[in-house]
Amino acid sequence: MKRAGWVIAVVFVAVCIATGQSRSFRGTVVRMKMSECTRLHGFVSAMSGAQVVTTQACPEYTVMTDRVVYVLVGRKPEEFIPLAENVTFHVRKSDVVVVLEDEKEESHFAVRQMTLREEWERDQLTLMAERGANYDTRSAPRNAIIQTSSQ
Amino acid sequence: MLKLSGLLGLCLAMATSDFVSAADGEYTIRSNVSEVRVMFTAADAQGRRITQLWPQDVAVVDNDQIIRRFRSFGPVSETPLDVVILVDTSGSVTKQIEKELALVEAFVHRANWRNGDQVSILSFGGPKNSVICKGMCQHQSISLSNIAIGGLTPLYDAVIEALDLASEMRTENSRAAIVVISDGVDTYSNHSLQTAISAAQQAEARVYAINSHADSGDDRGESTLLRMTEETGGVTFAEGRGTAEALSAILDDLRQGFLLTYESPHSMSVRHEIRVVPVMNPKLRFRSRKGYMELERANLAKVR
Repeated sequence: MKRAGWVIAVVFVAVCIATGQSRSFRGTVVRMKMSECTRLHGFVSAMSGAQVVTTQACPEYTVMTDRVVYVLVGRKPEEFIPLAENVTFHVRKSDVVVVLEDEKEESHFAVRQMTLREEWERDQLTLMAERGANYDTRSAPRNAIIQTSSQ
Repeated sequence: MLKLSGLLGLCLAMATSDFVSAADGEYTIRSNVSEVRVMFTAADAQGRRITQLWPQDVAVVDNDQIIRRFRSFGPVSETPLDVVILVDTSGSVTKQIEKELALVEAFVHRANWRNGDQVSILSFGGPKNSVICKGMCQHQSISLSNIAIGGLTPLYDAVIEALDLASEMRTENSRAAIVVISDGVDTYSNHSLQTAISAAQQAEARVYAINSHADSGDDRGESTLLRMTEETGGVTFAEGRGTAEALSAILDDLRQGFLLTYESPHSMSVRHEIRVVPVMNPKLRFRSRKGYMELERANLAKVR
């Protein structure tokens, strides 16, 4: 089931890139934690599974769009995504880039994981059920989800 | 028609909430939401304190989940304080203890306390801690002559005792703070450092520390004091800065800052790690307690 989700996600991204659409997308950060930094990998290497992990701690953001949930890891420990409800993300070569408010600085991220949103939500429910807790999707900002933009 | 819609509205409200009828015809609405209170201070990249902040400027990361919507948000300046000053009188700090006690007494009597503020002083050293004065020390004469000096250092036990004292004194809106004047080297406690930290976090009490051994080069206790203060949203001051100045800075810090509340998000763990983070400006720095426990769930788990 997971594999099918991955295949669909890969096809979706490939189609988007091929058609020149979705060079940017809008989404909402729903999770944030510190994790190991990754370097020299992005979309393509994330897909191939070749991840280079460093010992530094970098911010890891879970970004929810209308169809896909991305897990993005900062290229550097100080990379920052504004936590506003609607944030625009730009896909540039192998990086996802966020232009900060003053437009003088950019944050660069590698994609650690991509999951179809439906599958991600199902996984969360399963995970919570396994641990015997009630999961409430209130924390996912359904009303704030934005349509994928095309530029 | 209006009457009918009003009746329908009331029925709907009663169906969705727990109403308890009171004898005089009033109603109490009960809610089972568990609310989290987080007091925090904000500073810019240069460490200058920020006194004006809006809810849209901050978010809370609660067990990795982002909280943007708060039930309340505002400055803390008007709420009364419950301060417990913990003075280490154990053998390791006997050299300067008389001077420290005199400075504490002077601070308590001269500081700019407000109506409703409560100050207590507790000394610890040896097998038994002693309450020097309780509640309204700023209006009492403090007798320091009977304090036993010397013995071992039950620092963590003393912090827990101070929290008990603060909770005894506490009123509905007050904020608790523990000021520890010690070298930070515990030699005797029954409780662990983690227990003391968790108890302070649960009591929403900030721990501040004045390291009374900072000049001696013995830094064994420094990491303990740093951990205790960082985990609870407080600050550690090196003694070299001066106890009197540090005490004033602590009172000033307690008067500043913000208080926000939010609904505790569902989590797999009863222990919640929290961080206040900026929404738009990555250069903002926030200081707050770093965790809390969902007591209801923790107690349920114990029963099971």
